[in-house]
Amino acid sequence: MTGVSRRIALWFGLGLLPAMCLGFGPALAGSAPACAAAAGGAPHAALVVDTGPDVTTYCVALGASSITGIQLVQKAAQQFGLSYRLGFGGQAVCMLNGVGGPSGDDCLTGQSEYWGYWIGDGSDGWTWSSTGAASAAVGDGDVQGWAWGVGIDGTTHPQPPPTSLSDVCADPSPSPRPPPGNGGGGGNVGGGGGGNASSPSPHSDPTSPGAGTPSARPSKHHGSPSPRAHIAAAQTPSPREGAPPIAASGPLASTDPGGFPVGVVMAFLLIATLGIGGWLRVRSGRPTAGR
Amino acid sequence: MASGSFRTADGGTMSFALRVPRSASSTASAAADERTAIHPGAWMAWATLGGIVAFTTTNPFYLLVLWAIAWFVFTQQRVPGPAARSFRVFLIAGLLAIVVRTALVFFGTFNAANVAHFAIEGLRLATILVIFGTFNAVTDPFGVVRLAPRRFHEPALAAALALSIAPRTVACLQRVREAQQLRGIPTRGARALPALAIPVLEAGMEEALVLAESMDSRGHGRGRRSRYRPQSWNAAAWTIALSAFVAAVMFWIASSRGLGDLQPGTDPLHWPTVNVLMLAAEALLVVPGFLPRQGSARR
Amino acid sequence: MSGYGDIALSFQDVTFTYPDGDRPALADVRVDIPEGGFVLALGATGAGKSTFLRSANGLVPHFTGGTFAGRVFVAGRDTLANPPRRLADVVAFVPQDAGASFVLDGVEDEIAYGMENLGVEPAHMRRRVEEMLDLLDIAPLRHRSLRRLSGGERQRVAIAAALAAGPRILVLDEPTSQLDPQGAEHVMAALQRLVHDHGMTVLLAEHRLERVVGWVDGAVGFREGHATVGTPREVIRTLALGPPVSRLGRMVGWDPVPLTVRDARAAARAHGLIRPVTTADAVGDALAVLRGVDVQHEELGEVLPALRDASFTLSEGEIVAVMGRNGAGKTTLLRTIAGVLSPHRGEVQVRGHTPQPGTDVGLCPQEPESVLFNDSVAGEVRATLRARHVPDADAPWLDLLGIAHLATRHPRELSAGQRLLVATAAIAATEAPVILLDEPSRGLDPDSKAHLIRFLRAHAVNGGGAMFATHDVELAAAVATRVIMLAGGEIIADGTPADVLGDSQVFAPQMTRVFGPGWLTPEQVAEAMA
Repeated sequence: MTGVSRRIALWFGLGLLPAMCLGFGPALAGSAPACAAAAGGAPHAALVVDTGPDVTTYCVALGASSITGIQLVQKAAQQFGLSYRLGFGGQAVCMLNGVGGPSGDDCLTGQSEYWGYWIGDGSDGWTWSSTGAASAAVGDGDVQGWAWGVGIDGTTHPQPPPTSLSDVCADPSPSPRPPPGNGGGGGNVGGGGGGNASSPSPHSDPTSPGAGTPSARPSKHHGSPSPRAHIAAAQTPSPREGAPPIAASGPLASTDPGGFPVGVVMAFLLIATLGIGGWLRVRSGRPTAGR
Repeated sequence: MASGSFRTADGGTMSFALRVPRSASSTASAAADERTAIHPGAWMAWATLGGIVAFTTTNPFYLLVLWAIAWFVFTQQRVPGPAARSFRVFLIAGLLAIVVRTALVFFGTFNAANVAHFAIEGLRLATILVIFGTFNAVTDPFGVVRLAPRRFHEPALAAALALSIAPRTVACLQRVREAQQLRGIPTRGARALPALAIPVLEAGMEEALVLAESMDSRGHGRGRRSRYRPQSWNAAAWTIALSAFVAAVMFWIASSRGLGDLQPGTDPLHWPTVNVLMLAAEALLVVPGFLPRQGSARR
Repeated sequence: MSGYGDIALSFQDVTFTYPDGDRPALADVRVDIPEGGFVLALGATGAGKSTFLRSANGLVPHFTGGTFAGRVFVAGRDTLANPPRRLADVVAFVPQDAGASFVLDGVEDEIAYGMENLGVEPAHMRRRVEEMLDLLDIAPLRHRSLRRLSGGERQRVAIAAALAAGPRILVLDEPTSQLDPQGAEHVMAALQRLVHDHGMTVLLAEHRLERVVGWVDGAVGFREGHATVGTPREVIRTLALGPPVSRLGRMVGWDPVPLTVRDARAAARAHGLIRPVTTADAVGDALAVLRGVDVQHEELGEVLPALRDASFTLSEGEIVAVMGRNGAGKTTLLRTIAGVLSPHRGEVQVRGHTPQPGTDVGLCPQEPESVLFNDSVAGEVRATLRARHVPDADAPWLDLLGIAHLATRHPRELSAGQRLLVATAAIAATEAPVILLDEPSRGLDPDSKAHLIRFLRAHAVNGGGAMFATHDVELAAAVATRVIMLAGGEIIADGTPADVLGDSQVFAPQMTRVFGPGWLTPEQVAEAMA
């Protein structure tokens, strides 16, 4: 047989593979038995964010048996007001806690420092993640870390300080953790952190905690915060941080949870209109004109 | 008795009248077909950008709106003929994706948040499938193959084959199932699998080989290449591609900045919100549904 | 042999064995086909015809592998050095299964595909597509989807697509197998016009010799890989094959053996035969009854009437041939009787109730591959029996169909004709009283056809009823006790073969054409002459 059919078959396989991964990869990862968490109960994972001067830890409720590394960041943002920006269509982390470049496709270019992605190795140490955070699975009891710095792999990039799950999730008392090599980054503890300490719910979403401006984007849910959740370390913006944080405000802000859900109603109207419009078209027969 | 009526004097005007009159199209209507047909590249852009929109969000409201858009565009612009069936195939595949994805929750922790999480993941995949179902029904995927530069001809062909393989397999499966029923072989249950799968797989292999032979015999892969009836990239094509582009860019940006509640969490379970501006951006994808209908190029 | 100026195709001592073959498919084949030749390849199933055709454009050995010795030159180019794509400008190939060879979706696009690959200028391409649409009389199909064409329409589009690229040599594998007699004649006339007016070289293979033998001017006969070259008359004499008139000639000792109806008429002048008295055979009780049946095909609101007000009765002991042009509704009629299509109006009853597929009625589809899934021929029959919970008794069907010697073979290794017989055996094992066959004679060589006829007669004698849809008038003449003619989904004629076929100019078998209405088979005529 000539190369034609073989090459077609090859390309065919190459084309199908990503489709399969897209469809079932994360699902299969999610089916792996979740680690028994030290925290017990609803699944939780520890997230460590090391900007260099400051280390912040979050005990994040996963809300599912398995989520992705990116979703872990997003949940930390929802639950504790971690500020973040993503790039590459939501696949890469550009900024955490005010440190890092602007979002977008090019957030990793033009600077030598970036957010290194680390996976807790189960004994307080860290392993350089071999996969991107968008495809890494986070389960109950996992520990994940993000460290800002230069370096291309696990041997050259700075690591977050050694951390175990119980450091973050099990200790009922606030635990400020001075980052190594830093004389102590301050001790704003508990609550939403930063200027939001006085906000009524720790779920509010401060995009610029250091600046103390409450977010224009209110919480999207009304659940009470996890009793085990706490935040260690101060959230002062890093001096290296250049880009101004983006406040989620203006027309893109979600509607007030207590208000009338205009968007949802409009969405349903749109769905109904299109659905009925299409149905009428089908009922009126063939789409060909003049037949 | 119809003796003699079959015969024609000159042998050149034999009429296959039984089916022909239905499809006989005058030159005028053929020209109209060409004018209203939309460039396959524009459809490809629409489907790809629509897929990106679906990819950036896990908000079920935005996803359901995409379903409605795909359905509407399908009904308005579908090219009559067997291609329309492929929409149904992709629709079924999409529903299946949701079911399978949700069922996987039983391997993990079973709670409402988890079920919602997996169901929404399935919904997102299904949305992408449905958009591609519409793409298949409104244009000929092989038309896209021919647009590909020669270097990418083979990958494009493989992609088109992959797109067309689902409807073709379904058609083949229907044929085999009927044939086995008429032989008294059961066609339901796991034990029926070989009786259905083997003929379908063998037919698929046979078909692929014949196709490869036929393409080679007809000069596929030679250096030069020209285009028969090149489709013009007209105003309609621009409209479709640009509106879809704006929608995709809006969603891309909003998703990377965590705006518009594109990725609502499922724990604690709550109703996500819909941002009116994002909804408007998404609605740009329905634009092709309001363009003049494509002529019935193929029946 | 010094220059290739006047030789279009030159096979020089070609011996070829397939990778898993135990004997050569082509053995020492030495054939020169001159430019402007119109040449028929003939021989029994598996004798080497298809391999011969496929080596004419390099598909053998480029797509098959195997051991290839000797040389094939196509317009002076060596096929070993040139894969099919580099020969595409001089030789075009139309495979047996025209439908599977389509690359694109639309008729016009498909016709233009080969030209696009050759880089033909667009304006020229447009003109050329129009010419092809006219030449094969398919202009009304130009905007149709290939997937919705009937078998005959597909075959003509495939020929148009092959011709469009402007080859000097055209190779066709059974180009009329899916065509009705009129369509076949039309294709042959178009090919002859190409040969005569444009100096094209045409090489084709065909089993139904009566359709082609009068048109061609050369023949290559195959027997177990060895080739005999000569005029059609010489080759047919050597292989002892031939259309019904040749069989008659051999039976009654005419010399030379006639090839065409015209030859036979000259020879038959001495024998004045009067119309034989035909009496309708006594038939048993009704098996299948259709009363005023309408069937429509519906697709997304589009309604195509496929069967209109069809009423008829199939009784025990009958073998009914269903004939009519491509797209007349033959397959629809069979599927309706089988119970897989439900009528929109009227009623269908088999043995007094709504037909149960696989119990009351067995149907062998047009693509016999659709039912084959076992690893042996005997296994196929066993699978049907097991489904009926019948023990593996000694099944007579393999013997009856003459394929008992293939019992342990894998169905996939068999030729198309043999696979059809295997599928027929698998259907017969349902022991349904009504057996339906859709186009059973495609790819059947005379031997296989004789076995099929024997099977149908045995089924009828044992009190069953059989129907088959066919374009093969000679098969209908040989075995049918009754012929139904369909046109536009309506039954326009229903009667004895002598009446229906004798009355038609298109569907008349060769014996009718020579001796007049009522004469159907060479055997019948030879008996009357004796």
